Amino acid sequence: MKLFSVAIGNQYELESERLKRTISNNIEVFTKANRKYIEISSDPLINGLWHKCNFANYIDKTKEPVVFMDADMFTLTKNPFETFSVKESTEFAYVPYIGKWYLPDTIRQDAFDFHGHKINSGFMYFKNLEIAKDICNQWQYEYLEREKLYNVYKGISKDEYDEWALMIALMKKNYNIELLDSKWNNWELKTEDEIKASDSVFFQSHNFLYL
Amino acid sequence: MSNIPYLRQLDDNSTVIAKDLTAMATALSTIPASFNIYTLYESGVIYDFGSSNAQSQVPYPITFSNVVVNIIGLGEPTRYKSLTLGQRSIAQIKNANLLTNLEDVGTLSALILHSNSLTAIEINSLFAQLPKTTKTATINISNNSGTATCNTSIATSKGYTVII
Repeated sequence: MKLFSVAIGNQYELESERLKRTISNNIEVFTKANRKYIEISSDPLINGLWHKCNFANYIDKTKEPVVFMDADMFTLTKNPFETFSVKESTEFAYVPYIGKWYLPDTIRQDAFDFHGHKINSGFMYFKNLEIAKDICNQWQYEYLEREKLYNVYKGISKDEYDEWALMIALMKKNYNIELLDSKWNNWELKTEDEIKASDSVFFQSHNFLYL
Repeated sequence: MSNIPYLRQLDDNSTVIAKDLTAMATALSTIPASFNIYTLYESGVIYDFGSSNAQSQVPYPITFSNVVVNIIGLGEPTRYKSLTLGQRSIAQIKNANLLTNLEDVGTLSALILHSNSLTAIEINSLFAQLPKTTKTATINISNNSGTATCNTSIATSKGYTVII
């Protein structure tokens, strides 16, 4: 399994160090120091999220499945991928958000209705690098087109641009998708006690940098 | 943090929001004398953006561990970006029109009201009270008794995203 993350900016780089340590350094992290890095936007968040959307294009080659993880993820499990598996036919997998969403614009509503849930992009499995690059190419395109796509009269949270762009991108593809259990990215737990008491494998938090 | 009770929970499971102490006094004057007035308590987490310092953009939790507090200052509701009131017994939100600054903070929804006792009528009333928004503001009303039958279009037509 090829593990990959993107960390653009000091805080994400710091958090990616935590991720590296908790999964025994078996992950490649794309940072500003990479020769392929370019500044796509002067807005740090937009810039960082675009590189996330485009992450597969920073992987030179691998014959293994690809797993992307957000830089602020971490695990308390010794061998976190020991029990990870997907169906043989699965080409793309992720953890969905819980709940039904009603949105003020039709494009994002159509994307939600198409998938039946909102996609969390923090932890994603790709069957191979070719599929990862195909999805990322469409994903980064939709991300750059976001202002045209969302027919709302107002701005949209920058933090959410990447996930809606991914959902719209996947509507134009035809991959076999598998929904993963939330234990692979339990982003809802916030307190140290909750996290330590949980059976989940991966967590996502900007806190607990001392772990 | 001020010690002015801008937001108070009552023993009929309603929550009153007021813009200042005078407005709160006026609001409370309409409540039957037999009612007790409680503030929020028991492991609640409130995100307050009332501060004007640099930290105001970063949500910081104020946690109360099973302690009933008589007066809790919660800043000025018109400045709240995000308000978390999940997993309580709240059955009614009053004066939600004062929440004029709601906005998602990262992936944190602006208004979190999941797992309360809100009926569809009260959820619709809340939606009707909220001002129109030009910001990205998500309301999470999952796991209330009125979740399935409330009219989400009241909120989405004002620019809100609703999660049920």
